[in-house]
Amino acid sequence: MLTLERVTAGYGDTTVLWDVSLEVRRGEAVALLGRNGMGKTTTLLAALGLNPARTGRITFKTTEITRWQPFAIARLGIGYAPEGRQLFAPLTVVQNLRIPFVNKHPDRARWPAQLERVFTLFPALRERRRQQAGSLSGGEQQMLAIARALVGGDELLVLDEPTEGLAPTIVSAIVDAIRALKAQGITVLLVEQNAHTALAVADRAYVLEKGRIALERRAVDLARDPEALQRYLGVDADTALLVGGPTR
Amino acid sequence: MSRRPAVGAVLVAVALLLPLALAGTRSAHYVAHLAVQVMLMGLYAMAWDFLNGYVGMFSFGHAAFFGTGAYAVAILVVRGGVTSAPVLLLAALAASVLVGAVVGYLSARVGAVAIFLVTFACAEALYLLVLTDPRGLTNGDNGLAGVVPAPLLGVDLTQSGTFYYVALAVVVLGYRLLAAIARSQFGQVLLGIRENEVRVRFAGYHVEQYKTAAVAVSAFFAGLAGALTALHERIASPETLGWAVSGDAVLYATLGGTGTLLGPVLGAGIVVVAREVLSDLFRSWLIFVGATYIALVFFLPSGLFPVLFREHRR
Amino acid sequence: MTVVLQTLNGLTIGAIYILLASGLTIVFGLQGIVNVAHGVFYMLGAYLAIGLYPRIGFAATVAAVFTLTALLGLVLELAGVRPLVRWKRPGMQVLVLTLGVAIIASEVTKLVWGPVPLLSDVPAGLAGTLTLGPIVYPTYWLFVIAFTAVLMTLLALAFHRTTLGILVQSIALNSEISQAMGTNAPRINSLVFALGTGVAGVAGVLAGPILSVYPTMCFDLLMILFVVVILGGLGSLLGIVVSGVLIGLVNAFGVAYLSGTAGNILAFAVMIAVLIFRPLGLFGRAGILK
Repeated sequence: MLTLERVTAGYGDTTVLWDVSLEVRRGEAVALLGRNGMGKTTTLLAALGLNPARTGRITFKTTEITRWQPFAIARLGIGYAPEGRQLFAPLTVVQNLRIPFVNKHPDRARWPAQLERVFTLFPALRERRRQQAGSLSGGEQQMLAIARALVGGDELLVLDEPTEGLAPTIVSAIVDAIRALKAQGITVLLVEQNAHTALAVADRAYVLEKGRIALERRAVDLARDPEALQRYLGVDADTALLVGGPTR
Repeated sequence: MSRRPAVGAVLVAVALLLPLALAGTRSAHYVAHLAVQVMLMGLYAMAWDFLNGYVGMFSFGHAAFFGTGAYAVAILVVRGGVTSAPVLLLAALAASVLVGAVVGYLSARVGAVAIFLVTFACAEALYLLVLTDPRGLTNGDNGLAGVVPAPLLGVDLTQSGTFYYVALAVVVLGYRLLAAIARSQFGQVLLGIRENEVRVRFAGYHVEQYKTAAVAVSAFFAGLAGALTALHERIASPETLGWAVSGDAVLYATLGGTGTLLGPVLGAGIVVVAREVLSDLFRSWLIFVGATYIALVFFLPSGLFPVLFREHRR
Repeated sequence: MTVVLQTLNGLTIGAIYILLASGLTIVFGLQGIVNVAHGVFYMLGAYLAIGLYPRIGFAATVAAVFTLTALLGLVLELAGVRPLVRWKRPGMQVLVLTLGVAIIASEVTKLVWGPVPLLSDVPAGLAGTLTLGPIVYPTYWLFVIAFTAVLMTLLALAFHRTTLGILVQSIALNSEISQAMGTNAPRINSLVFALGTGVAGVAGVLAGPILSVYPTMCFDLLMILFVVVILGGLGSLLGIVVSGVLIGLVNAFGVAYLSGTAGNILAFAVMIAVLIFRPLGLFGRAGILK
């Protein structure tokens, strides 16, 4: 569904991504892993048009989107939950959801159905729908961020660090939600620092190191490779197994 | 590799030889007069560029310092009877630095976006003061004429050739000094403030003090330019404190290339000469100015200097 | 003039400031740019009103001027601002560009209409005075104040209740993320820009009978305008309403009791004083449109 071919990207005079190629197939959940600063977010920003690639090609389905404007890319059906959520804090939950809806759905009559879908997935948001986004708790904000992405995209969901800074119980709730969405057939591209969470949800994983793809594995295989986990992600293999490996 | 030393040397050589080449011709005085204007405006623009290009403070009131220098000299000569050139200059510098300290104090404490307004306000306040002339010092909008210094060490400073070399010396020295300040520890801190003020503050530097000092330094050189201009034109008029003069500093630096110190001199040269030529030819030469701004933005966003000499703003 | 009348005078001038500042501040909140040519549309409105009003009446003049200045603003935005924003060089570059446009416009105006200040007539239906209690008020002033109040209320409602308004707010809050949500920010920015210049034109029509009309009016008012915008807090509608009123009053009383330019200096002094304590302005917060 989404393909990056030999993409180079960076900021100003610095190059962060070197010759990165990866692929997300329809219905899959793909995780992009790596330590801090390895270029994971940069990869997402390149794909979304927020920090366009300098060289290389990015394709969505059959359309090349390498130099497209971000809003055009988003309107293809791609939803984005950025790192740190970046909600529109003074706006209400409903208003935050309305924005991607009006931008992407020509049929306004589907609004109640969309809202209902979101609130079924995240019941906590239903009660708080008229509250300002900035006044929600961390977990609720993350739910709103994912909901916002969901309203925006039925085709591909791009999530950047969805469990960052959240308590373990909330993390499980988020993981369950992502699994549910995947079960509905939505394709997911996930960036995560937390290898356990990522591998619990993903089918395949890429590992980025210093701006290059160092590894590509099926999630099951990576979860059972303590050496690789330790080397690329600094993760203790025992802990990985403890928290519960991928469900396959 | 910076071509700057080579460029500088060529410029100075040309400047040194120019009077010799023109000596005796009918246009010698006119060219000398224009050349001095270019040099002094260049110094003035350099002073502005120091503040904007190195510290990141966009001043729209540099006329305040320029005009203070001019009026300090004028008032002392015409009202105070002081004609010793060194004394006049020292007084002008002191006055300019004082004004600079006050303006700097205010500018350092408001957000980056408002600095142009604050500096503008200060210049306008001085302009108003000079116009209304509460103590009968400035002669209101007629300006103070008759600003003639006494000979220094037997040399008549008002001779156009002499003044030319004096101005040249001052400008070259001014440039060397400003460049040295920019390279110094002080200058590095200022650069740091421009890049990331919060980080510099966290490193323990009292940012406001540095900013105030930077404005004072800039005022020093702008005031120097103003004082010499008053001596050169033999008059100090309220326009020297007006927003047009403030805007000129911005124009020279933007055209020439901000952050380069030499660029503004180039810009000043082009504008001063063009203004002379065009205002004789066209009544609405301002349209050229406006068109120049527009062209600048689309074709030469960093000004002329970086393009001509392939050097980038530090 | 009595204090009350002076206050009304200040409010009227303040109303003009508010109309003009609204366009400037919203565009800054959205795109982070300063449109120095904003005053040009104001000036154009004033000059056109002098010619149009006697022929087509007041309401039609307002409508015509709004349309024209909005369209011209759109042209400026598309041709000048958008490319600069796309090349990631906004801010200073847009300032210089719009300054160039303003200088040219001012000179052309001088050539076409001459440098002598013109006076515009108060529209026939609004001439005369209203007597409330012991004081006699010029009707036109009251009209200007009322017009501005209504327009600002409509704008505020539009921002907070309509979907388009929500989109605009989202762009002001976080343009990139809003675009990632599918918002066609460039188009909305252009629209808002044009709306701003349209309102500026209308402000010019309204201001004609109050302030004189001359080729450098686009610059003279600019400084005070910036004071209003920065004092109110960049990007804040509520901010410019408050600061517009404040500066209008300060200016009116300053001019009446001190002198012409002293009124301006006083306004600056107020601004500097406030900024020292609140560097972002009265209601300024990074990236919020209220």
